[in-house]
Amino acid sequence: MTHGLTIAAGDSSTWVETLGEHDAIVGGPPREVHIRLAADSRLTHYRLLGPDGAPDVADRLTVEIGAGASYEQRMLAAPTGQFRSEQTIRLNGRGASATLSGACVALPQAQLDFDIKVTHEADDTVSDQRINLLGADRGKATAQVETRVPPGRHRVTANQLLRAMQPEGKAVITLQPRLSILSDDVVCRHGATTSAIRDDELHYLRSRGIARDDAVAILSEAFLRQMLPAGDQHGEGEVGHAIDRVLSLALKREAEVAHEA
Amino acid sequence: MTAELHPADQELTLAAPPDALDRTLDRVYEAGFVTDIESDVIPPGLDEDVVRLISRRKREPEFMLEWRLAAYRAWTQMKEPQWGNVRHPPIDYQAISYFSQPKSSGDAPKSLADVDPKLLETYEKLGIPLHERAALAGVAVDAVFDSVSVATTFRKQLADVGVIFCSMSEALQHHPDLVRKYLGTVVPVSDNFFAALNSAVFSDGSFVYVPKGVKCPMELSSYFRINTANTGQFERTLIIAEEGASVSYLEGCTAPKRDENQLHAAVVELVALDDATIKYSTVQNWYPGDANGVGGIYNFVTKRGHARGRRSRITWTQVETGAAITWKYPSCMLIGEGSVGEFYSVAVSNHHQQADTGTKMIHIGRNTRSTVISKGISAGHGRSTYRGRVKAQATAQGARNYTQCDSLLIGSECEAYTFPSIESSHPSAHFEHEASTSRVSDDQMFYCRQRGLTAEDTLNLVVNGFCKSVFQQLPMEFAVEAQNLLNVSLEGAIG
Amino acid sequence: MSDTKNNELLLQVKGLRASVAGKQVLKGVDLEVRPGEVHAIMGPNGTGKSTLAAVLAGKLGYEVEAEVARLAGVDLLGLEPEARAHLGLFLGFQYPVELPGVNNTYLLRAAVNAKRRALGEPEIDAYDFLQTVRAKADELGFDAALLSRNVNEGFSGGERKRNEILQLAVLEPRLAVLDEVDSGLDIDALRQVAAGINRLRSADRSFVLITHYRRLLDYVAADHVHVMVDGRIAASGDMGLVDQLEERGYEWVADAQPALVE
Repeated sequence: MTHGLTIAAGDSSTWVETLGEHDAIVGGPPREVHIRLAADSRLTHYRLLGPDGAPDVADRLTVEIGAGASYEQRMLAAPTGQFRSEQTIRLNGRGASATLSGACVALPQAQLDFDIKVTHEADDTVSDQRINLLGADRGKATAQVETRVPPGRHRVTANQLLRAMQPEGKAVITLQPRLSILSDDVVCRHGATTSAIRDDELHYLRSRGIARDDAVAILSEAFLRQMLPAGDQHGEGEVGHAIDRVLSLALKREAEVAHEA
Repeated sequence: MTAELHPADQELTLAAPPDALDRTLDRVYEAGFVTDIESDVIPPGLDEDVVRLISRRKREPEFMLEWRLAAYRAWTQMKEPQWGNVRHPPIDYQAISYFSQPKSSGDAPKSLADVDPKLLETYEKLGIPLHERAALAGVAVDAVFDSVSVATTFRKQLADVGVIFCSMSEALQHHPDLVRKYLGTVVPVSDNFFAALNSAVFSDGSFVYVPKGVKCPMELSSYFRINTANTGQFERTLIIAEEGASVSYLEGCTAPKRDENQLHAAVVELVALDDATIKYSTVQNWYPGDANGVGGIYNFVTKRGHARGRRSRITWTQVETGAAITWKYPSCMLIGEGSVGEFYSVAVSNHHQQADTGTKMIHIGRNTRSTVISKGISAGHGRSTYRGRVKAQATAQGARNYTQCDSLLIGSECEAYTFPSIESSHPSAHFEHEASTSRVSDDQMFYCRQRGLTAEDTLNLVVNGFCKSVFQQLPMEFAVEAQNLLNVSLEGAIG
Repeated sequence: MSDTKNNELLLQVKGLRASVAGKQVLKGVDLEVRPGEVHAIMGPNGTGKSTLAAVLAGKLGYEVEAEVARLAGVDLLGLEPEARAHLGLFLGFQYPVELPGVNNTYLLRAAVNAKRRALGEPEIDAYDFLQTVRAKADELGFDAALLSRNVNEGFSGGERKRNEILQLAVLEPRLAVLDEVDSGLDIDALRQVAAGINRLRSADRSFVLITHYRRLLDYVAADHVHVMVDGRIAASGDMGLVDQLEERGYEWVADAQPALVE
C-alpha cells in the first residue's frame, strides 16, 4: 500500500504515522510512503511502531525536501518481530534541512534493520541523524545510515550519531554510519558508540534507594527519551500519550523476558 | 658442485648449521633439476607447473610445495573481490610472469651519474641520506659498499641474542620447523583471493623470530635487503614474538618504489605470545604512474596479527602514498586476555590514486583493547576510503575500542568515503567511534596567511598537524621521512 | 618598500568600499593612522567593523575598492594576505581558529621565517627562537604552557585572546588591528590583555582597536576614537566621544549629521 503526502509551500504540519496497524501483511510488499515538502514548508513526522502493532513490518520511505524546507522525523520503534525500514531522504533545494531522531528498542527475538540514505542535492543544506538503540537480550539490530554529498556542493553540514546501549544479556548490534563525500565545501561528522548501562549512573540511583532492576529501567527509558522531546508542540496529549504507551510497553516486555530468562 | 646462492641470501644468512643446507642441496641435486632450472625461460601465466617450478627453484622442503599447491587449487576456485570502492581495469592473471629472473647487472646504472635526475631530486627532498641514494636507485651492489659492512655488525648483534632475521627463503632452509609451525596460521591460504595467490607463488619476504624474553636490540628493516631483484611483487612475511619478546619492524622507505610489475599482493602474518609486543611500520611511496595514473602500482595486501598471548600487543603504523590502487586492511585478532591492538595510519590519495584501506579489530578474549587512528588525505582527483570493522564477539567481556578517523579534502575534485562497522555481541563492550570529513577551512587558511605564511605553507602546516597523532607513533627513523614524504606527495595540490 | 617618518601616515584609507555575497557592507571608509597612535573603532553590531579588519588584512570573498588604501606607502589592495603581513600588518582575530596538531611555537617560527625569507633575511634557528618566545611570554606575564600547546586547541576564550597578544609580541608588526580582543573576557583576562597591549605600544607601532564596549578603553587610552555606523565612519573624536556614547547610545550618532567632529 502506498501513501503520498505533500506539504504545500510555506505550510507547516505534523503527521503522526503509526506503523504496523492496518496494512502490515506478513511477507507482502513493503509499505511505501512518499513525502514531498514544497519550498519553505515544515513537517514534523512521528513514526510509531510499538510491540502491540503487527510483529513484522517492511517499510520504504522517500522524502523530497524543497528549498528552505525543513523535515523533522521522530521515530520510536519497538517491534516484536522484524522491522525493516529503508529511507531515502533528498535535500533538493537550497537551504533545506533534515533531522532524524530515532529511539529504538531491539526486543528479545526482534530484529531491526535500518537502511537510511540522505543525499545533499543542493547547497546550504543541513542534515542531522541521531539514533539511540536499546538492545535487549537476544535482540538484533543493524543501523546503516549513509550521508552522501555529490560533487559541486557548497556549505553543507552533516552529522550522524548512532548510540547503542545494552543493559544486559546478549543483543547483537551493528552500527554503520557512512559518509560518501565528493565535495570539499562541507563539514561532516559522525559518531557511533556502544556501551552497557553506565556504572556510575546505576550506582547513583541505587544509592538513592532504588532497586537495581528499577534503576536499569529508569536509565533505559532515559536513554530512549533523549531522542524524543519531553513535551510536543502539536497534539501534546495525543503524541505524548502515544509515545508513553509504546515506551512503557516496550520496557515492560523487555523486563518480562529478562525475568523469564 | 657449488651452491649458487641468491645475492640476497648472502646478505642475510646467519651462521646456519652447514649440514642442514647441504642436505637440502643434495636432495635437489639428486633430483637433477638444478641445471635445467637455471636455463629455463618461463613465459607468463600460472598453472600447477609454474608453482612447482617456483618451489623447486627455491629448493624448498616438501611441505612447502604441498602448501603452495593447496593454495593454488583454492585460488582457482575463488573470484576476485568486487566490493572494494576502487575502479580498475581487469587484471589478467595469466599475463603476469610469476617467475622473475634477477636483473642482469648489465642493465643497472653504474653510478649515480646514470640515474634519472628527477629521481635524485626526489631523494633530496625526502631527505634520504646520501649513502643510501645509490642503493635505492639500483646501482649495482658492489658499488655500494657501506650497506654490506653495516649489515655485518647488525647480524652479529642479533645472533648474540638469538633473534632470527632472514629472508623467507632462508628461513625455509634453516628453520623449516619454525616456519611450518606458524605459516598460514594467521592468514590461511583460502582467506581471500589475493592471499591465496600469494601463498601459491610468493617469491620471498622476511622472517623474524624473537625468542622468549628477548627485546630485539634494534629496529629491523626490510630495506637492508637491497637489490633483491624483483622479489617485491609477492612478498610473504612472518614475524613471531615469543613470551615477553618485543620487536619493531620497518617496511619500505620513502623513496619512490619503481617496479615494472603492476600487481603487488603481499601477505604479512604476525604472532605475539604472552606479554610480547610487535610493532610493524610501513612507509611506502609507490610510483604513481604517469600524470593520468597509467602504469601505477596496484597494491593489494593482506596483513594480520594474532595477539594470542595474554597482555600481548600488536601495533600497525603506516604512511602510504602513491599507489594507483591501495587495498589493505591491517588487522588484529585480540585473542589473549588483556591483549591490545593498535592501528595508526596516514593514507594520501593525490592525482588519480585510489586508496581503500582500514583495519579490523576483532575482540575475542576478555578485557581486550584497541585503538584506531586513521587519517585520510584526498587531493587532486584522488579517492580515499576508510573501511573499518570493530567487533566484539560474545566472549569479549570488557572489550574497549576508540576509533578516530578523519578525512581531509584538498581541492574540489577529490572524494572521501568513511565506511565503518561497529559490531557488538557483548553488553560490556564499550566502543567509541568518531569521524569527520572537511577541508582546510577558509578561516584556518586566512589565519595562517595573515601570520605571513603562503597558502602552500599553510597547507603543509595544517596537513602535518592533521597527521600529527599518527606521526607520533612512527619509529624515529621514519617520522622525519614521513613528514617530508607528505609534503612531497602533496606538491602542487593547491590549484 | 618605503619607511615612514614620524609625521607620515602609516595607514591611509580613503573611500574604502567592500561587498560580500552581493551585499554592500563598507560604504566609503576614511581612516588615517600615524606611527605610534592608538585608534579605537566603536559601533553597533553589524556595521562593518569586523569587515573593515578583514578587508584590510586581505580576507578572500570580498569585493573591495578604494580611492586610497596604503600601508607604509604601499598599495594594499593588490597584495596577498601574507604579503600584507610581511609589510607589518597584524590582525588579532575576534574568533581565533583552532589548528589541530599544529604547535604554537612552531607556527610562530614558521611565520617569523616566512617574513625573513620574504625580506631576504636569514631564518631564525629553533633554539634561539624558543628562548625569544619564552622571554616574551614572561614579559607579558603569560603562562609558558601556552607555548607547548597546539594553536588554540582546547583554549578558552581568554586563552585564545592572550595567544593573539603573544603572537603580536613575537611578530612585532607596525600596525596591529585587534578585532574585539576584549569580547568574552572576564575582568582579570581583560586586564592582562590590556596590560599586554600597553607594553607593546611604541613609537613604531600603531593599534586599531575594534570594540563594541568601552571596557577595554578604560585600560588602554586611545588617541583617536571613531564610531562606525552603517558601513562608514560616522563620527571621530577623542576619549570624550566615548563618554558621550555612553550617555546617549549609538543611535545618537546615527541620527546626527554625518561628520560630527570634536
